[in-house]
Amino acid sequence: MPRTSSRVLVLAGLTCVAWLVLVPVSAQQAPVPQQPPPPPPRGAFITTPEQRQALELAAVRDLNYIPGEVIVKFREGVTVVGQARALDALRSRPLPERLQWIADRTARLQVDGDLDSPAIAASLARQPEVEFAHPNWLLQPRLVPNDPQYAARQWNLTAINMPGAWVINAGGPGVTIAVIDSGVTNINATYGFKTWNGASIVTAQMPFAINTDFDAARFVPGQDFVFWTGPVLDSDGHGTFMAAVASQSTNNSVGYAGIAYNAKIMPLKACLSYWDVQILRSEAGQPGYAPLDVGGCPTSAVTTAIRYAADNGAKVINLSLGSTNPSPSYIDALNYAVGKGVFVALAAGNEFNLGNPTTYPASYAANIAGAMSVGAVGRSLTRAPYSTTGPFLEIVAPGGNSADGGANGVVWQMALRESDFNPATVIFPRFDRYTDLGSQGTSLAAPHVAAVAALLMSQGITSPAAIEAALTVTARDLGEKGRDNDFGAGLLDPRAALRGLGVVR
Amino acid sequence: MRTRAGVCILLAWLVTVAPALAQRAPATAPIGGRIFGVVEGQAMTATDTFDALSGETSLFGGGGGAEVHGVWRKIFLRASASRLSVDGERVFVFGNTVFPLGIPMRVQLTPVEIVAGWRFATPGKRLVPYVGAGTVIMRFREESDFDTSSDIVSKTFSGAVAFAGVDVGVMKFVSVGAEVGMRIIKITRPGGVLGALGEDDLGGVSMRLLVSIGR
Repeated sequence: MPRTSSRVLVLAGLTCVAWLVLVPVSAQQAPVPQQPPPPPPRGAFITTPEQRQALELAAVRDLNYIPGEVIVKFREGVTVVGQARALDALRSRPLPERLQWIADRTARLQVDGDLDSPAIAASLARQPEVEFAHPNWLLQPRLVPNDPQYAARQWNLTAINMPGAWVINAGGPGVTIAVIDSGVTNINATYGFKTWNGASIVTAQMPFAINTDFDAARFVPGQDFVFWTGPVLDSDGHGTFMAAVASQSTNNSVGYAGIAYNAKIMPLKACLSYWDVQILRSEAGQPGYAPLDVGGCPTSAVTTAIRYAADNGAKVINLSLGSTNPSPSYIDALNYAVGKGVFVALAAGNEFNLGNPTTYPASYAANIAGAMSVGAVGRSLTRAPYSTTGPFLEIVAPGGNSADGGANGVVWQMALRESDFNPATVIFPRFDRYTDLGSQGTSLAAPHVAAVAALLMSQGITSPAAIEAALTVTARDLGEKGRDNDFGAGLLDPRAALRGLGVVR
Repeated sequence: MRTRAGVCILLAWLVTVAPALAQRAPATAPIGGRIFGVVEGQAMTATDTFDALSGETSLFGGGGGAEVHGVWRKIFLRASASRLSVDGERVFVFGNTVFPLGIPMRVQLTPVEIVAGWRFATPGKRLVPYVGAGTVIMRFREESDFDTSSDIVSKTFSGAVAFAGVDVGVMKFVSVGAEVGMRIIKITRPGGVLGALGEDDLGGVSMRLLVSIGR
């Protein structure tokens, strides 16, 4: 190399070193005012003012459907003309353009000036063009809240020998679990939302944060089907708790363990919380507070979310939601998901002490190979007193029972701090602080099964029907010998399911 | 240890003393004995089960045994043991679909046969065909990665065996032979893949090559 070139290179090198050394110094000498971070993306609200008013009305009148809304499915081959003919049966004679399609031949219909959804549905159901029609039922989260009292013991995981299962499969890597619920916050951001401060509508800064015991990298993009077009935000805590049971980070020296701790989580928001409705109300300029028990999960949103999960890479769906109202649209959606290779776990219901009614969509699972209805047991592996029983019950998992061990008998996870957003006591809520929370319900049993299904998917059982079979044949028999209405096939046994079969056992 | 010593003494007796006893009574059938080593393969009757678990339908291995002949006319008695094994992985079976689970496993079959047979020529002839039948007691062991002690399957099954073969003398006290056998080892209410695929027999058709030493 010519000497001149060498000198040029040396000079260039020294210049670079000097630049690297001096630039930080000069930056310190003349600090540049730091720009504030750009505001987080803000979405458009999905729930219209009319729908929000209908939700509030549902809360006030204690209705289990959205007033004025129905789900209608037309028969095969019915054209727009036929749809119009069917809609003509309604007093308001809505045009087919009012139909909001949520699946093939299935649509949500909002009828102006008529809030009697059962009557609307009945009128439509009588039309020859219609396969079925029913109110847009509101499902409720299947969790029975319990006074939190700190306890580090996760008896629920040892009861099903998760350590023995994790030896075989380390937390379900490569599988995505869709949590269809009130959302799971997957962004750290503060939003200015309007709300009511007791005297006027004001804009309040509401911080949201990812669960501190959850690796943010394990979220895949989610979707909000009810609140807005922005990021998925959980302003209720139920969805976050379900995600925690299924997949909370493990072996990270923080908080609690989750079952499928290497699986991805797809947060799908299909439930409106009190605060969602309050914000929608205030953003619409309507003063005052929303009813305290407002909110729920419209059937239309739940079924749309099920389809979305199946179409976007989820292999397992957790549905810790339910009601006592049937809807064939659940069957369609569940079959759609299972047909796409997605296993679905559904909470069986917490209504045993309320007459033990059949619950939906859980009861449909019994006839769908690849979807399972899940009941709950307490710490001593007896049926939790709230856990709905019946011929549709397929399996049980720990759901907690405060009467069986007190605070140590419920299911604990790191979850949203409820006192930060309790609408009875809080005016300006926040959703960014997490704490130990104990709860019980079949809501909590379902994600046990969903998470173990994720482990099985990860282990190589790729068919939802085969997963159901594996969970069923390996379940630990409880109660009467063989299948029974209290425990289904028995207690979830992840290790046995993961081990599969050898020659003779 | 005591068992092994007993077996050794028995074999030594068969090879040395028994022929001597036979020589004392040449007027009747000459009593002889021999020991043999065997390599064998067994085409499993439960083909679907073993195919699902290992991709193989035959197991291979080897063993040995001892034989006394001339006990009465051309009848011989034989005791033998062999060990067959195959590596595979645990699976889940749903309908006709097999889902491999990636959990390595090893299956060992140890059939112990006690049989009686008939030779169609007197010992010493170059080609000696024979047939036989008897009982087989099979030790079955199955273990996988991640197994705890309670997960390991170690069971004993029993069944029947029939076989036919031919010995070829190659030296004065050495012969080689080939043999085809059929083992039937039925399992009542089988679990595992055997049960899932509707099979119930851990036997099969065995092909054996024997090298014998003795008279």
